[in-house]
Amino acid sequence: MLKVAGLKAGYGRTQVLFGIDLEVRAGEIVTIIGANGAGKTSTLRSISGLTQIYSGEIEFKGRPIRGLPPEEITRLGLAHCPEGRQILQRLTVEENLLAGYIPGRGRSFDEIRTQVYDMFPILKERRHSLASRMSGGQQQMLAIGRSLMATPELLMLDEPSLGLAPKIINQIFEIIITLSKSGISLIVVEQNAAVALEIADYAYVIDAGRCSVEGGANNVLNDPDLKAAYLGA
Amino acid sequence: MALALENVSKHFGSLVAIRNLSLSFDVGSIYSIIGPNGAGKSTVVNMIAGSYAVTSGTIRLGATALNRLPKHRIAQLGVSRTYQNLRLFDGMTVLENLEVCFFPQSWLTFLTGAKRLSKAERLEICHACLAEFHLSDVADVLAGDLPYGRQKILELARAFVTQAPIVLLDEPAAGLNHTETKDMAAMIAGLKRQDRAIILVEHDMDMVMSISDRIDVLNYGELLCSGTPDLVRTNERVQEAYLGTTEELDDIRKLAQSRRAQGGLRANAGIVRH
Repeated sequence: MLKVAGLKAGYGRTQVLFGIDLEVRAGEIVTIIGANGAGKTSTLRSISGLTQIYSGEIEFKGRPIRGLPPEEITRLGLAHCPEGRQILQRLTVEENLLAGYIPGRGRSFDEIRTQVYDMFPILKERRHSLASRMSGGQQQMLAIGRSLMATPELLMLDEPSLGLAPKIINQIFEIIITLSKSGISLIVVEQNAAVALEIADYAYVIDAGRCSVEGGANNVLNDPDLKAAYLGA
Repeated sequence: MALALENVSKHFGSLVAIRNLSLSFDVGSIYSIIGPNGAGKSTVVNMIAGSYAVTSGTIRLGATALNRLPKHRIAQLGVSRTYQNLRLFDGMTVLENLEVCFFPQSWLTFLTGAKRLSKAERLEICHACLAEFHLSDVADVLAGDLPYGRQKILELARAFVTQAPIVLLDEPAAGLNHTETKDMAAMIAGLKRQDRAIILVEHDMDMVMSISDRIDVLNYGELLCSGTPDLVRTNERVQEAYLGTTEELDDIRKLAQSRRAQGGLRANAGIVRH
């Protein structure tokens, strides 16, 4: 589904990624873990075409996407749900969904909206409310719902549990599994690494802009060194 | 000194964000306010700090009613706070970010007759604070150039540098990873003093449960439960409304396992170190 090889990228002259290699296979949940500032968000941003890429290759569904404008990458079926939700505060719930809709992917706005509302009944209930009036958990659901409006085959979620109550975090992880079961491949960047590893298939550890470790989520979860470094156990 | 909320309510139009809330916070302890998103936690902080006017009820610091005072006045009386989102001056150095916390002192000295600090005295306090928060090595670095974790610590330092007796911390662990959160918890626990009350709003339950003397749980703007970490952790209503139940976690694990059981996924692939 997605292959990243030797990715070096940054912002202007500030290089933040020094060699990222990763792969997402169809149907997988891949998690990226690592310290703050290690380059997790920059990796997602690079895949989405939002950083300056110095070298390396990014292939999505067998097609090189490096250098394509972000909207073109989304149109190919790769959606990005950014850290901090970044919903449009002064628009309503439904207007936010409309903003995320990408025409020309074979499905009408109404069709996908119905699907998103089925998945998140609270969004339907509050579809005419201003996004800014929603609670943090509801805003995160809106952000995910908006990404789904692009009919993604691969969805990248950056810190979906950030700032949410424990009970709501559980719900978000449940949603991630549900999305996966519906056939969407996922990359999940999470501070909450322990839970992320429980639901993911494969994990990459990023350290100072490089992939330092990778492996099956079960093995990463139970590795004593990684546990000490990233899971606080 | 004690901070007390007496029958405080806050309405936003027809929405009742806080209903008849009474709470009291004494110096010498760490308090946490927890509850679901939208329960009113930040509203409580904003009312204490004077960012929101209360609709009814009284907030007192010692004998002084705070709820008719502007927020800079409340800050001068000794209530300091941090924000959910960082509010540092990115273009100023770490040291300067601390120094500006003393800006209202001219008002303070005018109103209270307290001794005005000289620039040298201010700097001495700021440098001591930098040392306490392990920021001395970056004193001259622009705040905006610090990594996120250290920006959060600078934000924390700013709340404590003026030695305010009431310190409100709004989600100090948000966005920090596990190790950073543990360090932050240890740091806050170390800031507990007999002449200071620390009031924490935080979703990281490891932090809340490990450092709080009392936890107040809000739900729909009302006090659901109040007590020690052990009491709150085991309260069924709190689990149901906020903490999540172990059954819910088990359900997620089962769901995850049933998904993986479909096969072809790399969950058991070996570890490769690069």
